[in-house]
Amino acid sequence: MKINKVKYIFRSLFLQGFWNSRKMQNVGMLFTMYPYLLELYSATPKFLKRAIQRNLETFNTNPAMVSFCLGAVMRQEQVLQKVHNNVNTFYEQEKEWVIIRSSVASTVASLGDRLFWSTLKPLSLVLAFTVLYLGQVYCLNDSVQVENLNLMVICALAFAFFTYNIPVLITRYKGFTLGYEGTEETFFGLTKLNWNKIITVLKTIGQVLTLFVFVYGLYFYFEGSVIDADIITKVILLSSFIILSVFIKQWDIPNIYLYLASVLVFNIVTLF
Amino acid sequence: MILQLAGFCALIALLELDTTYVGQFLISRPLFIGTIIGALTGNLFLGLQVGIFTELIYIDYMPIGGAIPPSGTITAALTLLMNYFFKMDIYFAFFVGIVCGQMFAFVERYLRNKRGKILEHVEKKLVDMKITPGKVIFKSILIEFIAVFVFIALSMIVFGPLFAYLHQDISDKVHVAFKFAYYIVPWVGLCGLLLSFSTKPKED
Repeated sequence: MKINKVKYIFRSLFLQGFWNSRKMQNVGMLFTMYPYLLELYSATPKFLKRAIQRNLETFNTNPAMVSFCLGAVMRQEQVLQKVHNNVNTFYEQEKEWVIIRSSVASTVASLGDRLFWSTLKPLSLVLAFTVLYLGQVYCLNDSVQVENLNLMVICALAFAFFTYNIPVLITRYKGFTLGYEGTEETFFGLTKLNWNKIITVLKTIGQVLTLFVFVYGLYFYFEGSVIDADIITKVILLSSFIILSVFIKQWDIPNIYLYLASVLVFNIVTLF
Repeated sequence: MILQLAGFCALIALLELDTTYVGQFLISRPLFIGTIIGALTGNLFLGLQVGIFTELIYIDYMPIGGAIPPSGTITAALTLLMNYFFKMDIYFAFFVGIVCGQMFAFVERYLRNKRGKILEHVEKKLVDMKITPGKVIFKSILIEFIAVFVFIALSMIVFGPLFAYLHQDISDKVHVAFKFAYYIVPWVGLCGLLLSFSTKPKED
C-alpha cells in the first residue's frame, strides 16, 4: 500500500486540534490516521470500527516528532489488517500495537520536549537577539536610532523562524520514513541519531550566545553613563535581581513571580 | 476604532491557534506577534521590544505534557494594543498583559476540561461514524478562535477604560516603580535563558 507521506505529515499539524484533559491528543491522532484507516479497512467495516476505537485511546507526544509514531503505528496497522482472520494472532498483534504506540509516543515526547521546547525554541530566540545586536539594534534600551531597522528585524525573525522550523520539518519528514521502515531493534529509527549529543551541542551554542547577548547588552545599557548616585542605585538593583533570579531557580520558581515581586517592592519603596 | 480593534482581535485569535492547535510553527510566539502588531500600529521597535521581553519573562514555561503555561501571545498582543488604543504607558500595559496572559491559562484549562467532558459522546459518534474527526477538530478550533477573540476584546473593554479613568490619579512614584520593574525583565529573563541551556541534569 502506497502512503502519501506529505498528506499525513500535513494532517499531523492538527494533532492537538482537540486537545482534551482526558485523552489529550487522541482525536488529533485519529484525524491524522483517518484516511489511512478508511483505505486499509475499506473491505472490512467491522474492523474499521475497531481500528477507530483503538486509535482513540489516550495519546500524548511532542507534535514535532509525532511522525515517528505515525510511521510505526501505520506499519503495525498493516500487520493487523493482514492477520484479521486469525483471532489469536490478531489479539497478539493488537497488544503489540498498544505497546509500540505508547512506547514510541513517550520516548519521542521526552526527546522532542528536550530538543525542540527546551533547546531549539530558546536558541532561536537568542539567535534573533544576536542578529539584532550585530545590526546594532539594542532592544533592551529605551530608544533606537538605526537606519536599517526594518531589514534587521526581518533578518532576525527569519533566523528565529528557520532555526526552529527547518529541523522540525526535517524531523517530521524523516521521522515518518524511519518510523515506518524501522524495527524494534532500532526502536523505529530513533536510535539512528545521537539525540543527546545533538542536544548538548545546541545547548552549548545557546549558552555561548546568551553570554554574548548578556555582556554586550550590559555594555550598551551603561555605555556613556556617568558614575553618580542614580547609576549606582541602578547597578545595585539590577545586580540584586540578577542574583535573585539565579537563586530562585533552585526552587523552580518562574521569572514571572520575580517580575511581580519587583513591581510590588518598587511600589512600596517609592511610596515610602 | 471598534472595527480596527475587531480586526486586531481576529488576527491575534487566528495566530494564537498556532500555539497549540494548528501547526506550531511558532508564528504565535511573542517575538513574532509583538513585531507584527508593532509594525501594524506604527511602532516596530516597541513591538519587537515587548515581544522579546515577553519571551524572556516566560522562558521557564514549557508546554510539556498537560501543562498549560500563561499565554505569551496574549501578553504581548494586549500590551501593545493597550498602548496603541488607550495610550497606556508601556510599563503599565505590560503588567496588564502579564495578568491577562495568566488569566488566559484558566480559560484554556476550562476549554480543555470541557472537551474532556464531551469526549465520551464525541468518541461514540466517531466510532459509529456519524461524524468525522475532521469535523470535530474544525469545531474545536473554531471555538478556540472565538474564545481568544472574546477574551482579548473583553480585556480591552475592561482594562482600557479602567486605566483611562485611573490614569490621572496615578502618582509619578508609581510610574517610576512600574517602569523600573519593566526594565528589570530582560535581565532577569536573560539569566533564565542562560540557565535554560544548562546541560547539567537537575538534582531532586
